[in-house]
This record gives sequence, structure tokens and C-alpha cells, in this order.
Amino acid sequence: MNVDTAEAEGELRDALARLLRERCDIEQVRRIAAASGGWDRQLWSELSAMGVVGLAVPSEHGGEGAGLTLLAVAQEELGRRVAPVPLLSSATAQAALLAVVDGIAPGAAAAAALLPEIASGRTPATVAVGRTVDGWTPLATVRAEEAVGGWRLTGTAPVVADAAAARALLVAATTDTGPALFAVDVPATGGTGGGAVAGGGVVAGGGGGADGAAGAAVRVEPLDVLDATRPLARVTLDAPATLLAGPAEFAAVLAATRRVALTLLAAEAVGVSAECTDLAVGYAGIRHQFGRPIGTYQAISHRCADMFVGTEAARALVAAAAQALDEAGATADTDELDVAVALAAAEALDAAVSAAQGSLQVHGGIGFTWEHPVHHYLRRAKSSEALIAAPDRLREQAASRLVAAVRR
Amino acid sequence: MEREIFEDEHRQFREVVREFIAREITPYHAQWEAEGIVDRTVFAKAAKHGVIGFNVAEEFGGGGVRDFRFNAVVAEELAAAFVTGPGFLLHNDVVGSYLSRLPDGEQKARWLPGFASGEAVWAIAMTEPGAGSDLQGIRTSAVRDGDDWLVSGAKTFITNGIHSDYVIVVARTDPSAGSRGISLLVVERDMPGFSRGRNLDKIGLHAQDTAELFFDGVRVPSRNVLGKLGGGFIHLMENLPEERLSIAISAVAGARAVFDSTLEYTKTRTAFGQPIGGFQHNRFLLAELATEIDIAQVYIDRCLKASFEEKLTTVDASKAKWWASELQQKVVDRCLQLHGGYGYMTEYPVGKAFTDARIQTIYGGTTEIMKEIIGRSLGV
Repeated sequence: MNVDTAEAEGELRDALARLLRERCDIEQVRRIAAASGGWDRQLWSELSAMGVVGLAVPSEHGGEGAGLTLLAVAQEELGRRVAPVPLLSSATAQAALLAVVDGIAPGAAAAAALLPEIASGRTPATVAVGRTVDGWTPLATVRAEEAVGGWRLTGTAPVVADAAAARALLVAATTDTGPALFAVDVPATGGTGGGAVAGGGVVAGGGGGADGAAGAAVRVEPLDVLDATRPLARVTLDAPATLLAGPAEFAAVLAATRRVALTLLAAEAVGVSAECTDLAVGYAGIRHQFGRPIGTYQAISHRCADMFVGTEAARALVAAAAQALDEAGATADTDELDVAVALAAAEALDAAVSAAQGSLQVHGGIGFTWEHPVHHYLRRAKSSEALIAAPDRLREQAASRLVAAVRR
Repeated sequence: MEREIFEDEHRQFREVVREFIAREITPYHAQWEAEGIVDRTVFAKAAKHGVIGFNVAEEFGGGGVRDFRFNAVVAEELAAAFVTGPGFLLHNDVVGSYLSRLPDGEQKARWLPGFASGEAVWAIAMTEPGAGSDLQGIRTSAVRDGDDWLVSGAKTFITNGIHSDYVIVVARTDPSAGSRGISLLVVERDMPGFSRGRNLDKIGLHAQDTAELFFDGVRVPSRNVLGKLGGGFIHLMENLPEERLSIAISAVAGARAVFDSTLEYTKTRTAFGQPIGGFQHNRFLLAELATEIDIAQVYIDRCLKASFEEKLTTVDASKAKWWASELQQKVVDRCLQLHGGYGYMTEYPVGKAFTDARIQTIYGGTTEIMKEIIGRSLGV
């Protein structure tokens, strides 16, 4: 890392930490998480105004052009506060659009038009993909049909992160000729807006278009989830869509998107891990038993040291992965990148779980109470393992690429 | 935790074994280690005291006792005294088991008296340079020639390889029959074409002779075929549970011996003004090891009970073998760390135990093979 980057990183960290201290304490997080599918709109607009949302988007597409290296730093700081904002999802959507633009896919023009909207924060976005423990797949349950007037998507995406916040959905759907990526506008809804609340789900309905095409329905039903600070929803679609990447480009676009998503998820996990370590160390210094601070007992101090080492190792791997992605560009597709990203994510996801569990143990009975924040971190850490791909599968993927490279 | 498995006769036998080791082995052990081999007269002395050969029938000069608890006592006492030298466990637990079950009447009369008296040293030759875990890869062959068999091939890592007068050779008697074409043939010291390589240089078990054996058309008479022709693989499989239990027993006993000496060390060695065992990290570590050794002991004793009730399954023995030997690795490693720089010096038992113990997760079937056996039994 050169001096300029280090300086920029330091400034970003300080500014974000200050903002989050003021605007995102644990009580605020709790209040927002308590509302099903809730997210912090106020914080989001402040992050947007700071340029955080578009940090990694090149300036010609309306972003800051600062690269994933700095965006990862921001994501880490948000992880430290388990901030309920759709940055990870929006940044993932940005990565997909950048891959479409750079890969000269059929939807390059549409992607280029959407990017500044997302980068500015005006249009929060997310991706809807199929999920396995090994990672992402196209959604077999969402069909795309081409008719007069354009494409239309019908079907259900069972699990979509930050769907309630999203005004743009990127959907990995199935066409007659293979998987493809589409963009779907989600019309704005509100208590009195054009949408209707029904059956616990939010149905965003648009009227018929000027060309007489059928209307759009995007139904978002919040799921009951382990980690309420990152809402997940089932999304049922019957809506017009814009083709971004066809079957020929789909795999490369999805792979590029997944690499960025994993790197940012890992960065966020580093934040979780770091905060849990700080909480444990802080408590170990003030809690007394048998006449002295519990941090003076080796059982406690060694565990805190292990948490610290795990956090630092993960942070270094994440920084290396982000830097490699920045240097390689949005559409580069090499084993080295996949290995760097997979190992960083596996290490960071494991470090977060282990630090959250360690922190809870160091806090003793207090750590097991609802009022104490540590359970939010444990929830975030555990749910992150399941969000994209499980750590052991990531290691296996990295190992099989390394072995394949030796065999070649 | 108090052990419930032994009776008075075993406790008395333990005293005999302990005394024998103190008088006839410990004083010479360092010298044997330096020489890479024991004085072979120790086998006959041990037989005289009943430390080996007790499981041979009385009519052939043995003790007539088939109770694996006696085998266990020998294994435990050798481990407790950090003795790695004479291959008594091979003699009692492995060869003794083959010779008690497989020979016909004529073979018993020919072989058992020398085996029981300790005058004849035996070995079993399974492993080959290209066949370790995968025994089906055995290439040593025995080709029929009239009434005899001509044995050709090479074996390696053979315990008692230098001292042995008789070697049970695992060879392929029918190359077309796969695992059913493997037989056991007893090769004797003076048979032409039988030669030994050097005493192999190992990282531990320095008092034990371990050698390569070469067979160049060795003429072995049919009367030296041990057990069923073509039944060698099955004979090996039948014997493996007890062989593995024997390793597990010595692993737990070895772990306990190292733990006990280390515990003593942590009470007397001081640093930062207090005995090092008093530091919480070390105290917790010792507590963990003491717990795990006790838990392992209970499982091993249960296997031992199953063994003398003839109910020990190959799966249970595999569990005992990998778990106990891996525990031993952990115990010797952590205990060496507790000794600091002194642990790296061979004059402390822990330093030697560290290298001596390392083979335990390998011979008699590796940890990985044990898990294969257990995994297969689970239907996965």
C-alpha cells in the first residue's frame, strides 16, 4: 500500500467511525432491526452524501473511482457497527453492472445508465441469485420470456438480501437458451404510495406502461432471519426487465460479481471480528473476579490474543484480495484472483465467528443477555457464513484450483 | 480414575514385569539405543520370568494363559519405563497371536518351544517398499516348485528384522486371485537366498532393530506354510484388532508416563517467581491432558475387556488405535513445550518420547486408514 492510499484509508476510517458513532449506536441498530425488513434510510443518505456508496465505481460512471481497496475499508467500519444499510448489496450490484459494461454485454448501455443511480445512493440495489453452499447459481425458479415490447420475468427468488431497501433488482434468471442477468425496476412504495401492503408482504405495483405493456408486480416478503440487521426476503416477480448479460456472458459476469461480493462480505466480517475483540478486551480490563481484572488471567488474555491475531490475519488477506481485484480490473478472470478471494473470505468468516464466540465467552453471563450487543455480532457472523458460500467450500474451491494449476 | 479391569493375578504380574524391566532392561537401555539393537539374550531372560511367552500352551513350555490383560500389563510397564527396546509386544501380541491360532500339530511342536523360551526371535514381514497402507499391493511372490515354494521379493520396516530367526512372510501365492491369493510362509534364518539389509536408521525407537529383508528364490517347504493357503489376508485381518489394541494400550500408557514426569517438572521448575504449573495457561493445559488421558483410558479398558471376552471388533479397535495414538502425539508435544529448552535435550524422557511416539499413528495402520475403516462401517 502506498502512502497516498494509507492516508486516504486513515481519513476514511476516521470520518466513518465518527459518523457511525453519532448516527449508528447499538440502540439505533436495535430499533431498526426490530421493524421487519427495516433499514436505516437516514444513515444511508449520509453515507451517500459522503460518497461512500459509489467509492469503487469509476468516476466516468458517477462514482469516486477509489477502488475496492477503500470500499472494503468502509465495509469493515460498517461491520463494526452491524449497520443496517444495503451497502454490500448495492456494491455487489455495481460490480455486476461494471462487469456488464466492461464485458460489452448486450445490456452495456442499460448498465451504464443504471450505474450512476446506484453509485449516488439514490437507487439502492441488490442481486437475486440462486444459492448453494458452494456459492451462487442462476435462479431456476425465475423464468425470463421475451415478448413484444421486451423481456418479462416471472417467478420467485427465495432469498434476497436487502430486498426491502432495493429500488433496482439484478436477477439471475433462466431463459430458453440459458441463464441470463436482468435488471428490474422496483417502483417506490410507501404507506400511501402506489403500492399496497398485503399479507405481510410489500407489493410494489406500477401502472401499465405508456406502450400498453402489462404492469409490474414485485412482491417482497420479509423472512424470519437469524440476523435482523441484514434483512432477507422472498421476492416474487411478474415484471418487465432489461437484459444485461445473455447466456454467453452470464458465467463471467456472475463470477466477477461473486468475487467482489465475497471480498466485501469478508471485509465486513473483519469489522465484526475487530469489534468483538475490542469489546472482549475492554470488558476484560474492567471486570474483576478474585480481586483482579479477568484480563490478567491467561485463559482470558490468551483467548483475546487469538482473536486479535485472527482479525489481523483476515484483514491482511482481505486487503490483498481487494488490491488484486483493483489491479486486475472488473472482468479479469484468473485462478489467482479466485484463490485470493476465497481464502480471504474463508479466513475472515471463520475469524468473525470465532471472535464473536470468544467475546461472548469472555463476557460470561452478561454476554448471554439480550441487552448486550455481542449477540448481534454473533448473528451477523453466523449468517455471513451462509450468505454466499461456506468457508470450508471456499477453501475446497481454492485448493482445487491450486491442485489443478500444479497438474497443468 | 481407578481402573476396574485388572484382578490380583494381573497386579502381581505387573510387579514381576516392573521388576524385570528395572533389573534387566533399564540399566542397558541407553547402550542398546546407541547400538541400535538389544542384546538378544533379553528375550530368553524375559521368557524365564514369564514376561513373554505366557500365551503359549503349557505343553510347549508357555504359560498357557490367553488373556490380553497380561499383554496389556507388559505394554503398559514398558511404556511407563520409557522402554522402546526389545520387541516384546511384537512377540507376545502379534506373533504370539498368529502362533497360537494358525500352526498345525507338527508346526506347533517344531516352533512353539523355541518361541515360548525366547530362544527363537520372530518377525512378521508385511510392508514392502511399494505396499504400506495398501496391503493388496504386495508383490513378494511364492511360486510352487514341486513340494516347495520359491519366495522372491523385498520387505521393509521389519521389526526384529536383524535378530529374527523366523520370519512370517506375507507373499502372493496366486497372482490371479487378488486378496485370496495371499499366504503366510515362514522363512528361516539359514535358508539360502534370504538376506537382510542394514539396520534402518529411524528417528526414534533406537533400541529396536528394524530392517529390510530380501528374498531371492528362497526355497520354503510346504510344511512352513502358516494357516490356510490363500488365507493370508484373512489371517492378517483377524489379528489386526488385537495388534491395534496393543498399540492403543501402549499409547495411553506412554502418554500417561510423559504426563506424570511433566507434571512433576512443572511443580519444581520455577519462572517469574512461581512454579510454572501455577500459570493458568499451563494449569489448564495439564487439566485438559489429564482429562483426555483418563477418558482414553476408560475406552481402551473397555476394548481390553471386549478383547478377553473375544468381542473386540475391528471398528472399535480402529477407534482406539487412532484416538489413543493421536492423543499421545498431543501429550508428548505439549509436554515437551512445558519443559522449555530442556524438553529438546534427549536426557529428559519427554524429548525421547517425542520422537519415539511419532511412529504410533503410522504403524499397525495409519490414522487415515483407521478412519477409512470406521467411515466404511458407518455406510459412508
